[in-house]
Amino acid sequence: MKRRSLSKSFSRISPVPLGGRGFASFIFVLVAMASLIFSTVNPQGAGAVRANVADALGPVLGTISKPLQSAALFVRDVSGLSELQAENARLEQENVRLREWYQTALLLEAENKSLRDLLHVKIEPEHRYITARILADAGSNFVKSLLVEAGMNDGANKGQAVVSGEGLIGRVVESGRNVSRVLLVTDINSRVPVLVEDSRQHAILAGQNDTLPALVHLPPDSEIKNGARIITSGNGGLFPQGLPVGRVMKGADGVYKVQLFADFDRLLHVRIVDRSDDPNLRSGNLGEELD
Amino acid sequence: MEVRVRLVAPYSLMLVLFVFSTISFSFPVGGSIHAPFFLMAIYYWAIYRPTLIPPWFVFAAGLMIDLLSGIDTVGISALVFVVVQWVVADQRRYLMGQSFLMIWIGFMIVSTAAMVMSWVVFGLLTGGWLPPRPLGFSILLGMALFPLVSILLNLTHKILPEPRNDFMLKAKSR
Repeated sequence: MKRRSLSKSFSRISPVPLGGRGFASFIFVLVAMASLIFSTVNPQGAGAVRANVADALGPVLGTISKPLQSAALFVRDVSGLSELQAENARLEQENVRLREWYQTALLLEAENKSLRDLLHVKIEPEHRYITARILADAGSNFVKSLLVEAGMNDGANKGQAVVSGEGLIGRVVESGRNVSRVLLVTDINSRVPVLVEDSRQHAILAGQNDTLPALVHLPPDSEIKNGARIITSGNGGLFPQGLPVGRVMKGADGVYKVQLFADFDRLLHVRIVDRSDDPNLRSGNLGEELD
Repeated sequence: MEVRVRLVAPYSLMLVLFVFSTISFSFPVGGSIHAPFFLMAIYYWAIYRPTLIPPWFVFAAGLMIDLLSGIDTVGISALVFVVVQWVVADQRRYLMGQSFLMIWIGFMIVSTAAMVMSWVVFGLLTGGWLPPRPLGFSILLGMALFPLVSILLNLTHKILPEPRNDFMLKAKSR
């Protein structure tokens, strides 16, 4: 009896809720903090766990979210029926223009090839593409990422660039056996070396966790035209040179932002750029070398 | 047996809300936004039936959301979920007797506090202070969707057996 009253009075003065529901919550708060510290101190260990979880749960998430994706697209399409007609007219015009461009491109390609042959220019090898379905837009408000249905078994490895039909969307950051995680260029941790096409000005495309990434590390006096095309510069060797990224938009605050070519809302499939045949890269597992 | 069958509905709804929490919704303004769907379930059940979501359960759900989202700070949602469940369950006697409007306002306070807490923990651990605008949109989206989700939660609540049966089930399984 005495012991019980002693423990009771102790639990009353203790800052920690001893016994009861509060105690279990307190323990799990500590475990969550330990997990936070572990993942901050050992990001590679946390990455391995993440890759395994994505591998196991990615397909399940993909199956569940597939009808949702389709429903969202359907609602968008139906609600935009009136816009569809205008878009059709615009596309027809664009098609005519593109056909003319196609002829020009063929001419230029032939001319380019003959000039290259004359000059003996060493050209960058062509890359293989791995097409993968998006399983889930699995980010959060703090991280912008996608899970895609291609892993190491399919040749997808950490560090590879990921593009959509229109332009660059990100790079593979984790690769499981059958599922990979793509860090989008809009994520706050994403940095991509880019080039302003007309002025040949180098810059870094930095994600802002917003729809528009910013152009940073520009010289102070640089003046970039609104609407200038941005492509990857290939510096650093991670991204191939010349992938289309977006167009420059100068904000009211003087910060240069980039309107991406890729429409993230309409993506269903992505292409992973496999550069395993690039003689500039060493053979072996690209992912492990980058760690 | 019947008790277990009745428990299927709330847990199934929680699974759906869990999946929704990992999917983003895109808007012309604010870009892709994740709404705090699972937080709604935690808030609701912490008030009306805390035995349904013990601390280990919300911790595990938070950890899964973190691992699936690819966030560097694994455990951030788990921490926030456990704290929210703890605090709300502690205040449930007061909240239970309130009108829906008060519950809604309560959720606004809880989701804002949860977002601020995640933002501060994320900022302290990574050194990257995120622009708060998208997070504000996420709170607003959560606020707008809460009435709809709480109707669904309320429907599964009606199917649930009385709390006493819940304890009896526990006693039996022991």
